[in-house]
Parts: sequence; structure tokens; C-alpha cells
Amino acid sequence: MSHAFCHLRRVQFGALLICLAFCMPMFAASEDAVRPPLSERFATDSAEGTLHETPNFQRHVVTLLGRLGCNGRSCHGSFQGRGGFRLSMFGYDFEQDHQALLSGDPARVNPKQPNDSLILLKPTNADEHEGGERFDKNGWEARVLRAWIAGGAKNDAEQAGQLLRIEVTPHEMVFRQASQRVPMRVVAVWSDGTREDVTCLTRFSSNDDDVAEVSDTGLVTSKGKGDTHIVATYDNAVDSTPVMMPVTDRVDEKYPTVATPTRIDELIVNKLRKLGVVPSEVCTDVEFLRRVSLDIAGTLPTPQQVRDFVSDASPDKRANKIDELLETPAYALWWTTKFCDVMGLNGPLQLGNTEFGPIVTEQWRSWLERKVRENQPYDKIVEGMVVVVSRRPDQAYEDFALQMTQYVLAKNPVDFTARDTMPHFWFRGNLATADDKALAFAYTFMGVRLDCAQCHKHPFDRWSQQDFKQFAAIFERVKGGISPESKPAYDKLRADLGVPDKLNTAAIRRQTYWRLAAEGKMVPWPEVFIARDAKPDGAQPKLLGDAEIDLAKVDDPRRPLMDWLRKRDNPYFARALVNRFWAHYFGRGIVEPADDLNLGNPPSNPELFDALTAAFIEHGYDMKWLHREITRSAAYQRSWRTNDTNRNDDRNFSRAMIRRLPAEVAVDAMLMATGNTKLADGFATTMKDRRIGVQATADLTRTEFSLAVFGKPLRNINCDCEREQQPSLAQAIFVRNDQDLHAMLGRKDGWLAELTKEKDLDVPARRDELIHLAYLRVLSREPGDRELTRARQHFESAASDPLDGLRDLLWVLLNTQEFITNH
Amino acid sequence: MLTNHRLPRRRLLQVGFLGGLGLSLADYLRMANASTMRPKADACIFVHLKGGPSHLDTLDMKLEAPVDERGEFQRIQTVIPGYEVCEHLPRLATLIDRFTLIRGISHAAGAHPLANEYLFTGNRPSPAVVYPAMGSVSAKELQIPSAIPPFVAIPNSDMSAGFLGVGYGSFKTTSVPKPGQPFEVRGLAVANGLTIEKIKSRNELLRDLDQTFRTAEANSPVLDGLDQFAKKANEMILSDRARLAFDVSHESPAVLKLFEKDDTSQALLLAGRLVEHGVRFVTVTHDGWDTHLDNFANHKNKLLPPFDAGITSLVRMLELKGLLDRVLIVATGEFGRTPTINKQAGRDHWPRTMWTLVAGGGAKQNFFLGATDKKGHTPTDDTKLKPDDLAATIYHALGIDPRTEYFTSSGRPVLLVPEGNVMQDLFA
Repeated sequence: MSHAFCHLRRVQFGALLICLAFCMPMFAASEDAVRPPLSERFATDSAEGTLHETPNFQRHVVTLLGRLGCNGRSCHGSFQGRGGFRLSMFGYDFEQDHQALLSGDPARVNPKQPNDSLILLKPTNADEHEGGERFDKNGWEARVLRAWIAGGAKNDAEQAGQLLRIEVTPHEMVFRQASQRVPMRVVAVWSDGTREDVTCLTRFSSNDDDVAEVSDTGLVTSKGKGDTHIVATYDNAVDSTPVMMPVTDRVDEKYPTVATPTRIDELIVNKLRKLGVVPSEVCTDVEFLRRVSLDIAGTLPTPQQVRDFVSDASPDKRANKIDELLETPAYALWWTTKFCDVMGLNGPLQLGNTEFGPIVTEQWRSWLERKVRENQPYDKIVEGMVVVVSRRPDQAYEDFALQMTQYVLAKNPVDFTARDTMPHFWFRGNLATADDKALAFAYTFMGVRLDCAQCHKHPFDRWSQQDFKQFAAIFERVKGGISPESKPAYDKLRADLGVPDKLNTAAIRRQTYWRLAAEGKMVPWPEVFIARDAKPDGAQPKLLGDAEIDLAKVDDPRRPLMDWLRKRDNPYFARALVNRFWAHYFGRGIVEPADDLNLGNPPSNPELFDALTAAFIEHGYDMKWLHREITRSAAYQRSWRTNDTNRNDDRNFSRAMIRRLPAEVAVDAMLMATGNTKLADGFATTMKDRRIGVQATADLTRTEFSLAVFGKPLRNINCDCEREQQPSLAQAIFVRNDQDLHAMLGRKDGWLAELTKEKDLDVPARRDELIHLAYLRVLSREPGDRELTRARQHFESAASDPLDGLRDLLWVLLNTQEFITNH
Repeated sequence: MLTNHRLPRRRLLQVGFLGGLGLSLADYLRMANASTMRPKADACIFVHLKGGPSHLDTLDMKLEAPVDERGEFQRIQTVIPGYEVCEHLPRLATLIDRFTLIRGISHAAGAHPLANEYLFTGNRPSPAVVYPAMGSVSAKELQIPSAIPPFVAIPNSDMSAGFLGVGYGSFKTTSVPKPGQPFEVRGLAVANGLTIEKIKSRNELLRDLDQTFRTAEANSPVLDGLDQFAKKANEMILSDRARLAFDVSHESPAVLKLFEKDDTSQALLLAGRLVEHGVRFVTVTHDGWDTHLDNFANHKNKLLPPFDAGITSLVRMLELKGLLDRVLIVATGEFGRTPTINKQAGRDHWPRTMWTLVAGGGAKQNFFLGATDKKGHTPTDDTKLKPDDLAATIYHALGIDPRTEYFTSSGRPVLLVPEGNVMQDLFA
């Protein structure tokens, strides 16, 4: 398994089949058939009377210009170009680049006088060049360019063929000390069978130069302890090599025995063993209970739950608690919100025509909540959202409108959430064009950011602009609105209803339609449909890095898209979900950022990523299985307390990372901790007013103040980073002194109000119990002796009465770092 | 503040490497430019006329417009010969020579949220990235006195910190001063029976009890951030400095009597006081200009009187204090309104043109920039002004290079205002 996965990383996915069949034998047998690098072949001037070979434009010239930085975004790759000369950014538009080199006045390339070509004169500083000297005029680079020009300066695309893969060696580097050096070697394998050493044409970079640096020529130098990757880019291929220097000498045989109760733990400790990192201890029961309750259900445990859990002697109590939490309504509510973040359910005004936005929003949300609650397989849920149109092919528009109306009847409406499908994703107001749809789809369901490739070759991945265009073409036919065949019936319906188009605001139209619909009348519902008249000149739809889709054979290109996502070896679909879940529980993805799966951003533990993804698919995309599998691991249950070996580890899951509570969870926790007993006890079961279920409004001023302060995402962009996880000044002021925070403490249904009825608050035993309860409510644990003593002292010396003391204590506990973080 | 948006390290290496020139030279050039660029203004007051005022019924009235588009307001002569404004702007008519009127900023975003984002950031909205609004960029780039928030929204605003993160978001007052009363702002008020003594005693208890993460090494950037912001929050709450900055009742009677009692005037009074106390960017949201219904009644009764009073009072206040030269005032909606009057006597969205009123901060007085055609439908001249240019101009006035390069959290390099040009003619 891990063996196969190594290959998966090393090769391009598009070439996967070929590679699995031939890679190993070829690699061993044909080593001597590798052409030496250009830097050797062009090391000296050609002998008298002979000519150098003619370099190939794609294989050699463009890659050389890329390696020299010419097509970078601050040089000729910028959209304005530089000095009147523009190359495609990061170079994958060969025709444009070829034209740019041969046109212009004077042209950069002078086939008649190769030596007078500006691409030789400028970068060697023989002519004025803002970018300075890029290579020696007597160096191999100059000879390569000169030979290409002398050979006719052709863009011989056919001769180039297709790059199948690059092979980067060594496959792994383990350093023992700083300043050790190892050269990298990169061999390109082309479709014509050519194998060429392209190390001198490859761009190298280190993902963490505190661990290792890499020179332009691929020489890796160790710098410090830890682990990272060296990334190599040649043509459109990207590959990486893990590099590490053990943190301690406790590696391999010297590594202590560490319990690995689950497969996840085995795979994590395998890596830690190489690094000499010993994981933190397993956390305490109270730490576990608070952590897992907040993570799974977005809800604090009640004081009683804390006490029950501590006194529970059963060995399975942690696993049982996980199971219990996954059955709470709070779990379904919170994870629906998390999904809606990623799916971009961004506010009623942005959705499904302004008249129906609020209805569409709530249908979407509640449909998804039901699927999450019932634990429908993830792939089924996505299929129901992706491969869907609103109106059955045999259904008349009027029948469809009537059917939609049945869902919003004032009396006995039909349950929308019982449907298998839910088309509203495609109504999103910010998905107007196929490009928008492609970007959002890739982000949401594949964890891939394609926005770079929308305009130019992706700098850290293999995607060219052409790849993006072809992927976007899949969505060209998908529309939200009114299909041409529905249009007459739709227009007639509007005319019959007599609600004027110009009924000044959408709000009035909306109310009118809603009232009519609630009475059971047909109203003009919009639909998601497939347009038949696809643009004839559009790009051929193509799965990302995979096969083209023949539009003559499929009606709805989203069907083959979904089938592709579901393939066991799909590199994105299941992985994106697994990685996002992982990031939720650990504060960091196996690939980080969690929504940025790209070849230049390899997983910190590929074996773990691979195994967990495969098992998730094996279990039928069962999300609760995945929650269980992760939270049952010792890795998830580790303490935040570091030891001498793992203090600086933030990517190998050897300790719990301290995370700030998400906005909705934080505000709910404040409300629960300060609420009266009945309210607090019902928090995990009564979902009314829970902030973890509040939908985004796409608008800052419409967002509740506290939620905005703590960074609830507005769902306006394709990025997990829209959920703000950092602390801020406004948050610090909020918890200290905001009117809303004071109001929480003082409110009628608050805990303090409940206690005003009590007479014996100043009896020492009762006072101590209140201190305990305050700790349990806010920090989900009993106070320690020192804390109890200090709190008592405050009650006695600094508070006017017991309630005043308790108010102070609640305020103080809400302001602790322990409260506002999950640890 | 925890992350450096200029240079994420991993990306820096890659981009610098790929970039040929590298960032160091580009950075150097930018810094060299910046040092010769002396800021024209120390602060900006951005008055957002939310919803979009009707340009045709206010400052860009058209004698030659067709009768059915002209609306019901009369024109009055201003202090500038030949320039007339709406009869409901009498104070502005006498003070309009302190301003530059920009006519003809034009764009194509016809919906409020998109138009606002465009206006606030100088970048057309994109689903790939939320650009930071001008106030957040100012908060990041400009120095401020301690215990003073750099960017204040009165009473709130849709200006977002975007990829800079909530740490650079606006400090929202959520309310406006009531005339003649002390003003305490949300989060800083010592109210609800609290006293400074009480807060200090709670802080002592907090210091003694908040020890969990001191018992072992956690090595956590989140905890570092919490430490840092707790310290600043305490500074602001415990010192009088911030509270004083917000409490307009400390203004002199001469200043106070300049302002009417309406919310907009009081908000602008607060804005004027805040910039004097070191706030670098204040946005005042004056809502209600989305007049699809009863455009004229609303302008006449609700919208124009407070705007007319407030904006002129603010100019006079800053003149009185000798601050007008150093404070850039910008008043604008997100778009204009349709020449056609709808059935409800309303006007709808018209992003093709709008006006923007500018004063102080080195802007010319008694000046017109750009123009619209005879009917007020479209900009006439070839300046082709866009929201990008307005943002670039405001940044320029504040001494922030509009071409400053940032990195989003995904490592994408973006320029602050890639397509905006500074309106050089605006400045004296």
C-alpha cells in the first residue's frame, strides 16, 4: 500500500496507468539511456565544422527561460510584460511565447544574426537589461539559445511530444547535521520514449528553508531540524522529495515504545520515529471530554456530564462518548453549518432570484442537515447536489411550479428534505459563469484552487490555462433561471398572476409570491437546467488531469464528472473531505492549507493520508465512521503539553495544537456558560437560537456583532481561510467589556438571575459549590485547590456580596485563554 | 498581526525565485518611492451615503434634462458662479467652494454589495479573494498612538478587512452620540455598574487564575496572539485616552454649536474628533439613500437636510481646528440613480455615473473633476474615472502606495489597487 502510494506521488496522475505498469522496470533498466543534461551537451563550443544539436522549443527553450526567471510574474511573465516583451506567465503557452520571441521591433530573436538576438544580448548584460545578468555569455545557456536560433528558432511542437512524468531522485533525504549537501537529479520521460536529464532546466524550491535550502542547480543543503519538501518543477510536471533532519537522536532502535492503538497512530508514529519526535502523553478525561464535545457537537459539556464522565469507570468511555455525541442534534447542526461554509450557501439575497432566495436557502440548509443527521454517504449527498436539474424531463413547467409550491404550503407542506436531490447549489448568485462554477466546484468538492490557472500556468501545480478552460467547459451548459422551453409557460404564469415586474422592490414581489404559494397557487419558480445550445466554439470539456468528455454521448456532463470523482483512485474527492475533517480536529490538515491540494504542497504524512482516504472509501463514504476513526486515535487524544522532542512540531500531529474556538461555538459557549441551568442543560438537544446553526448573510452589517467579531465566514469566497481563526483586539475587548457580554451575565434567563432566589449563597459550602459550578460551566473542569483558595479570597475581600463575587468569577473565567481555546 | 501579509515565507522563496528580479529590488524601489512621497493627509473621513444618492437631484442637476427625468426639486445658486445645486442643500451651496466635486466615476456593479465592495477596496469583487477595505489597509500601514484604534466605523460599516484578517477590521461604535450628552462607545464604556476599580480587581483575579497554559510549554501562536491582544484591550479599557477620543462632549461650545442634533451630524462630529485624536481612517455610514420608493420625499425630508448640515459642519470644525489641510474628507454613494423616475416616484440603481465630494487633505478647493452629459446619464469627458481611481487617490493622499504588494493567505500575490490611477489633478 505505501509502496504504491510512493509512485502515486512521484508521477503525474494522468500518467498513472502507464506508470504503474512500466515504471519500475523502466527505471532500473534504462538508466544508461538517459540523455545527459544540456549543461553537459552544451558545455563547450561545438568543434570546428560541426554543429550542436538543435534544442527543442518546449523541452529546452521555454523551460530554460522559466528556470532563469524570465517568465516570472515580476518580469516578462507579468500581464504587461517588461520592456515591451511579454511571455506567458510561468510559460505554458508555447505559441504565444514563440510569437513573442519572433515578433516585435526589433525581434528578440534574430535568425539571420543569431548572436545579435536580444535574448542573448540582454540577459548577458551586453545590452541594457533591467533584470540584470541572467547568464554568462560564454555559458551553456547562451549556447543552447544560440543553437536554437541558428536551427531556425522553430516551435517544433510535434517533436516535443508529451511529457509523461519527471523522476526526481533521491526519493527521500535524511540529514544528520546542518550543512550537509546532496544534489538532486531530475529525469524527464517523454511520450516518444526519450529520457533526458533535465536537472539544469528544473526550478527547485524548498517548502521550509529553515530545514533545508536548495540552490538553482538543485543542490540541497541541510539547515536545521525538522522536515519539509523540496519541490521540483519542469515543464508542466511538479514533484517533490521529503527532506528531514531528526530532531533528537532518539531515532529508529533508540526510539521509545509508544502505544499505537489505531492504524492512524501506527502511521503517525512511523514518521515520528524517523524524526526522533516522541508524542505528548494522552490528555486527561476532562480535557478529552471538552475537546471532543466542542469538536463534534460545537457544544460545551454540562457540569453533570463532566462529573459523570470523570466517575465513569468503563474502559470504553471515550469511544462511547464519541458515539453519543455523533447522535446529538448539535452534531448535525454544526456540521451542516461547516458544510454550508464550504459549499458557499451565502445568504438569501444571493440565491435563486431575489424572490425565492430565503426559501431556497432554508431548503438547502435543512435538506443537508437531514442528510448529515441520517449519515447519508458523502458521495450520495454530493451526487444529489451535483447531478441534478429542477424539472424532470417529462415534467411540464406548470407541474414543476405546482410541485415546488407543495413544499411551501401554509398547511401540510410536502417535506423538501425527504428528496434525494437538491439543485440549489447551482442557483448561487456568484456562480454566473462557467469559470465561476469551475472555481467553486473545484474548491468545494475537490479541495483544489484553480484560480491561478484561470489566467496562466499554475505556479505550484501542473495546471495550464488550457486545463482550466477544459474543466470549466463541463459547466458551460449548467444554468440557474428559466430554460427556453419553460419560458412561455413562465411568462404566462407571471402575466396571469399580475404581479408587475417593476413592483418596485424585490421585497414586495417576494411577499406577494410567497403568500400566493403558501395558499397553494402556482408561482414562477426558477429552475436549474441543462442548456441544449452549448457554445459550439467552446473548449472541449475535460476532467481535471483526466479524460475528455464527449458531449455527443452525454446529456449532462456532470454525470461523468461525478463518476470520475467517485473512482477509487480519484486524487481529490474523498481526499478533500478527509483532509478537511482532519484539519477540523487537529487545527491543521495532512495537507495544509486544507483546501489546497496541489503537487507543490505535498502531505506531511502521505501514508496516513492514503490509508485514511482508502479506508473512508472502503467504508462507503461513511462520515460518522471517519469522525470516529479520527477521534478514537491516540493522536487526537494527545495533550497540548509538549516535551523536549515535540515542542516545535506543528505538522506531524505529535501533540494537540491549541485552537481558538470558531465564532459560533465561542458565542454559544458564552451563552451556555452564563445561562440558567435549564437552558444550559438543553443546549445540546434544543437547537432553537443556537449560533452554530446561524446561516451566513454575505453581509457584515447583517451579521450578529459577536459572530462578526469572532470571524464567522460570510461565504463570499472560495477559501477555507474565510473562517477567521486568529485572535484579535476586537475579540479581546468583546469578552472584557462589550455590552453583549455584560448582558449575557445579567440576563433574565441567566445563571446569576436564577441564583438571586437562593438564600444561603454566603454559606461557605454553598459558595464553594458555586465556585466549582462556575469552573464546570466555563472551563468544563473542577477548580484546583489553589484556584479554589484564590477564588474564595476574591469573594471575601473584593466582592460586595456572593453574587457579585460569582459575577466577577464568571467574567474572569470567560476571559481565560483556557475558555476561548480548544485544547 | 500574527501573519505577515507582505511575505509568507514559503511563497516568498518560490515567488522570489521565479520572479527573476526577486522581491528585494522591487521592495527597495517601492520603499524608495515611498520615502519621497510625503503624505498629503494624516487621516481620512469616508462618508458612505449608503444606497446611492440621486446625483440628478442633488449636486449634478441638469437644466436640459427631459422634463420627465428632471424631478421636482428647484435649483439654487451656489457661491460658485454658474453652479447650482438642489434647493435642499442650502448650506452646501454657501460652502461648496471648499470642495472638489468629482462627477462621473463610473462602473458596472449594479447591486449594492458588489458596488460597495468595489468602492471600499478599489478592486472589482472576485469570488477568489476578498480584498481589504481602505480602512483596514490604513490600519495596517499607518502608525497610530497607543490605546487608539486605527480604523473606526460610525456606527458600523460593510468595509471588510478581507484577507488581512479580523485583526484589521473596523472598530465599530454601533451607536452615535446624543447631542449634549457624554458619549461612551461600545466595548470601552465603563458602564453597567462597573468601575475602573472593579475592572482592576477582576484583572488581578484573572492574572492569578489564568495560569493553565503557564504550567507547561505549549508553544502556540494562538496563545501568543491572545496575550498580545489582551494587553492592548486592557490598555484601551483602563486608560482614558480612547474614551476621551470618543467623548464628543469634551469639544468646545464653539465646535458643538456647529452641529445639528441629527444622527448624521453627530456622527460627523465624532469623526472630526477621532481624527484629531490620532484615528487614521473613519468611515461614517449614512444609510437610506436607496430610494426606489418616493425618491423626492425621502431626499427632501430625510436625507438631504442631515447631509447638508453634517458635511458643512465637519468642514467648518476642521477649519476651526486648523486640521482641514491634513484630513481628507470623501463623501460618496456606491452609485447614482436612474434618470427615469419609476411608478413609485423612485429612482433605481445607476452605476454608470455618480458624484463624489472631496475636501481637505490637500485636495483643491472650488474645483470640478470630470463631468456628465447634458442629461446626466453618462460621464462626458475622457478621464474615465472608476472606483479603482478613487481608492488609489485616497491611498496616495494617506501616503500608502496604491501598488503595494500583498499576499493573500493562499499565497496569491495581489497589488492593493492594480488598475487604479491617482487623480493627480485633484490635489493643489
